[in-house]
Amino acid sequence: MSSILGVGLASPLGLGNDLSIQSWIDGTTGLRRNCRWPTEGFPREDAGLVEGFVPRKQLPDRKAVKLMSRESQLAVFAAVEASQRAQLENSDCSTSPNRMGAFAAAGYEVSSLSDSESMLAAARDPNEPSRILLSRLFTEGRDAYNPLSPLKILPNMPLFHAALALKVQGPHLSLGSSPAAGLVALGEASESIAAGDCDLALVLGSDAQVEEFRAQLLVEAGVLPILAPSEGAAALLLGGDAHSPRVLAWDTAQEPIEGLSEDRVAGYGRCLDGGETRRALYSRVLGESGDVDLCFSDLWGSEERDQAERFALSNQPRIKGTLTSNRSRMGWLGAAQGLTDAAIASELLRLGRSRRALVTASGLAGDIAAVVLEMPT
Amino acid sequence: MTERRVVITGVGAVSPLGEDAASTFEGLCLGQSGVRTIDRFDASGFSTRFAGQIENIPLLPGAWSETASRYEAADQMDRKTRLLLSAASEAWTQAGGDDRGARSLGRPERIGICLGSEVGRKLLEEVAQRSVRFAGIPTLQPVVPHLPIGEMARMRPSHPGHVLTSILGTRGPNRTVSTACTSSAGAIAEALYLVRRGTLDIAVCGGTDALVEAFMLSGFSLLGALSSRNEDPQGASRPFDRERDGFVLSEGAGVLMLEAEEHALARGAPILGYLLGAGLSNNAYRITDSPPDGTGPMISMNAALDDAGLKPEAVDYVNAHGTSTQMNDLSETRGLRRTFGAHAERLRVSSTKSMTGHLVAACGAVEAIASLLSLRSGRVHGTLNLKHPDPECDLNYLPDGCEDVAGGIGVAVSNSFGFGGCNASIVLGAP
Repeated sequence: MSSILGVGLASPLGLGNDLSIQSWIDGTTGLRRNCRWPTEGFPREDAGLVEGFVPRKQLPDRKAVKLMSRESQLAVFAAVEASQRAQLENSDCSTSPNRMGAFAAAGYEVSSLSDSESMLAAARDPNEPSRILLSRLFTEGRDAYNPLSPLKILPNMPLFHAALALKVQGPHLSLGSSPAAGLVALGEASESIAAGDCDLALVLGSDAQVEEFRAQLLVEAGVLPILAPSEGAAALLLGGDAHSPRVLAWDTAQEPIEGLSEDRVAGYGRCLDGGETRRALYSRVLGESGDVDLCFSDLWGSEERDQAERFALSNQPRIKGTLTSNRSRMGWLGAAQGLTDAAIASELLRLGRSRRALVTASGLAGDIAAVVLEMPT
Repeated sequence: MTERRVVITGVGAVSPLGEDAASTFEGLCLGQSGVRTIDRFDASGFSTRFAGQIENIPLLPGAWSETASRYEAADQMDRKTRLLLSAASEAWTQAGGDDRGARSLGRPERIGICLGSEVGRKLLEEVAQRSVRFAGIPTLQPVVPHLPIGEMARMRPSHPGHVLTSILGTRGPNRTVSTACTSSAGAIAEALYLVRRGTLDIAVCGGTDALVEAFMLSGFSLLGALSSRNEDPQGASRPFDRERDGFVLSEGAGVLMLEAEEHALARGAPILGYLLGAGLSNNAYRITDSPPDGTGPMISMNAALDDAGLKPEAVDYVNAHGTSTQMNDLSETRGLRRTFGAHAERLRVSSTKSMTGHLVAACGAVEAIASLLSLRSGRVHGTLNLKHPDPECDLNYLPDGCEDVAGGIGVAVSNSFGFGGCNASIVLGAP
């Protein structure tokens, strides 16, 4: 049974574990006016921003900051905090780096496209500016381009930078950009420890959706205007400890989702089975764990998707507490969503505010996951 | 929990060497190169003007084609997804699956998908359009109406997997592993764990990538990672050769059907071989380089052998990551020596990339399939273009081409290493 030894958070609720958790307890919203770009005419004027985050001052390697996307920076902050909270010696695992794994869920950064656009703009045909001349890419375009930019968009970069900061050399897994992926990463890290593949595991969920291009993609997906774009990272340090919150049960599945329609991208539609697949998944997970008194659900305001979630959670005799959701307070956190909920739940368990918690999350394309965390008596 | 043995019941591949797994392997054994001068777009201004290219993507069978056409009509079928569907349909059919989808092989909730895939690459033309039309506009807002509706779908690393599940109707876990060049090997490892511990009876796993596109070619060129041997494209990928000058960008897809042995036996499925173990590690070193001492690769190979319950001496063949970059080939060689000790001298080692180029997120799957077909046939392909051995790369890389191994081979290791310090090794066994 894997225990959560330390939690790091960089969320719209606050920078750092203490601030995030206190804000959650106080009922504070993490949404505020979006100052990243002019929002006039945009579906929402607010966003979930991590305030007070100055990467050059708050990350261990200042030189590496320029090589990181925003989500990598947030991920490293959370990872370092989680290791400090776990009281690992020297904040790393250098005594046995290959016995520590890293499991991540990360979005994909597209801001480097802006760098590319500069290069492309410089490669325009002087006689016909509407054309890009490939032959100019390596002459005029070259100086306008950072060769490391393409690497920023790789989804495994948050994992890499966090692994480098903590000197992690054991098993690794970087999963795609779904909100459910963080819970899968948490489950797989727990399995990896149980199988003896590693003794400690860093679990990461990070994303940075407060970026104009990505926000436009959320419009296309139907997330905006229901939820504001958001950013954040959560990190959990797993290991063995009889006195810390632990991962009691978890599972994942794929639910059938609506196919193509003229105004919707593939898979971004309603659940076709009314929530039956979710219901079966939650029943399995709860059946392995016992009663829960806290439930961070996947309800986020989409009528068609929430219908399936409500059905799946209804008449579950193991759920004794109130259904809650953090989405309206933190916005659309993307790949950081599921793990941020799990991180908050873990800290509430540690503070004695809950005994056992269910966390659910789903991706827009029908991947679903559920985790039950428990505080040992 | 009792761990189950995991077998391979189907494979499919599309590569610059062939439209299916058999023709790809045949091309490898014949020592053919799939690398040639780029003709898909005007690459004359690039420092690298060649790549591994797939000319014809095979047609899809009935129901697959019907669904794929709908995605194509909606502008949501990118090249990497299309490549994946071809490889997956081949593997699915070989495993005994049919147009009924998941139900033709078992319970849909016991069949899942694990694929290695990266962020969809934007077409240069799309970026260029935006760059030119909206230069100087402080917000991207006016751009929105001009973005194709499928933009988000095609950007998602998970898109190929979700198209596949919509065709097959699988209800088990659907995962996308995005760890650069180790993506598909990592996905195979994930699938192994899911089947072995009883979460799934069948996992459709592998990976896909399609990087032969101006935007990515420019990025990798500026990074200095690509060979620029424009005068001799087929001689450009030369792993372990002292004159190597970088890797060759390529494209393709590979899919393996993993299945619990008892499930496969119960339904009379063909057992092509065994997936015995997998090991993963991280270098925690640099973004683009492996450590010169080979520590990261050594950790992943040791972990894979431990997972398979095998000693190094049990391994007959290593399908190397072998990219043809200075640092990878040196680091891998040292990692092999540290893992296998004296046995390294007896190993056969070869690089598929010397002939296919680098399939990036798909390379681990296609190379695992090549390793499996070597186990089945006793034929091990060589390393093309290895004419001037690097004295620091001093193992038996089969420079003379394909070898028919007397008595066959029993165990193979396939390595994949990637940007971001990811390493993945998988161990395959003969049927």
